[in-house]
Amino acid sequence: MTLEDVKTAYDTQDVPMDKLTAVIDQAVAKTAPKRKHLNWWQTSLIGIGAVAAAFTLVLNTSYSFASAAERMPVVRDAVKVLLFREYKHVDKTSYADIKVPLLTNLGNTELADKLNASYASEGRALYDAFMNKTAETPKSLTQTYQEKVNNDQLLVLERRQEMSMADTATKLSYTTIDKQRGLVLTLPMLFKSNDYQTILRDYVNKQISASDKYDTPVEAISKTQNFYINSRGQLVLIFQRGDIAAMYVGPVEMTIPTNLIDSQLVSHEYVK
Amino acid sequence: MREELIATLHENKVALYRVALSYVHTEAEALDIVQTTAEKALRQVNQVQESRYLKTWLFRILINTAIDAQRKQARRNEIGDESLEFMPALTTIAPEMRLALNEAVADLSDKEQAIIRLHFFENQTFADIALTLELSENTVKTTYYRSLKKLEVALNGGM
Repeated sequence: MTLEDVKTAYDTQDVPMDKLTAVIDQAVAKTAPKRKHLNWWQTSLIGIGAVAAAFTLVLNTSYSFASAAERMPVVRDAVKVLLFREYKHVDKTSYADIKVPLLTNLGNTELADKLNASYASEGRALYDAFMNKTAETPKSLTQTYQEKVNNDQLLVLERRQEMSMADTATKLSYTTIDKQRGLVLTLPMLFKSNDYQTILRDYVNKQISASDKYDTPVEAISKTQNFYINSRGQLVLIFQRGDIAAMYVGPVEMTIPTNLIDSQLVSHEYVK
Repeated sequence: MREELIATLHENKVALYRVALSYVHTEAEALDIVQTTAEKALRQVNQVQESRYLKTWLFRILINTAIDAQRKQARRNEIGDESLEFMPALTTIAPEMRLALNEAVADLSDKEQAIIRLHFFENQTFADIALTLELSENTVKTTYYRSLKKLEVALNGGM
């Protein structure tokens, strides 16, 4: 190896262009000359902006304000799933970011309060367990949520927990809500009898044996099986990471063809 | 002048980054140096009279900032200035080569090192380097060939 090789190594090293551009832009922004005078309308724009920002902030941090805002006529339509609280913790060896959702504008306030309270206490419990470090505590833990479906009839809220230690794990939870009636759908209430459990199990197992992606057949589909109804009105079953397939496959979503369960359905109101 | 400086920063960002990285261990430290340099330069840009001096002036700030950062890091790790590493981020260099290189570079002064970095590695002209380091062009030239010789001898001895 000679000095020329060092030069080659030097010339071929990676340059993080995006980050580099970002630090220069940051320096430019930080040293930007201050504006001298603002017109009256510029000042008032800033005022309006500040009110809007404060509004969003309170809406996102205070449960009571958010639930009060829900009852205000103008605000009402703008409110749906909000960030209620975010628990954050970062230190040298661990990282947690737990976002707790808040449902508003549900019609049925009692139900919304019940769900919100359970989301809030679950988030709190996750955070407490994380902070109270034991050997089993994951190195990082995040919870995010999203509106998987939100149409006139249904709202499906997905919560995704990711934790990692030596290995990573993902846990998905779904809440399917009938917005018009203000109730949470459960699997048994979609069907006339308990026969659906056998039908779903057989269908799922058929899929598992047909595909080499999946390897573990399910023993039974329980009444509390994770599911949601997608925007096309199909029933979707969720299997956690590692439940029916190797860990690396991740969580599995299985869409059930409606004609398979057609005769079992109480109505075609939800599943179409 | 501020606008010209911003353009100069973007034109030279790769060179600025690579020179910064040649003093420290990690990407993050190098980015820090580039940012500090950019901020210092932008704050004092009114000191520069002619835009053709912007680039060399920028590299002067960069090298001073980088040397500061390198010394600070060395103090934190309680190692003496004499064992500072040369281009520690180039991890593809074989260990025995790395040893020889560090030893050879330890004999060079800050200015000599800077000349090697800017000319041998960054292909800047002697005239530019002379402006950056506030030396005469002749001094830069003779220092460069002398330093390069030292390095080559040290490296061949180390093989």
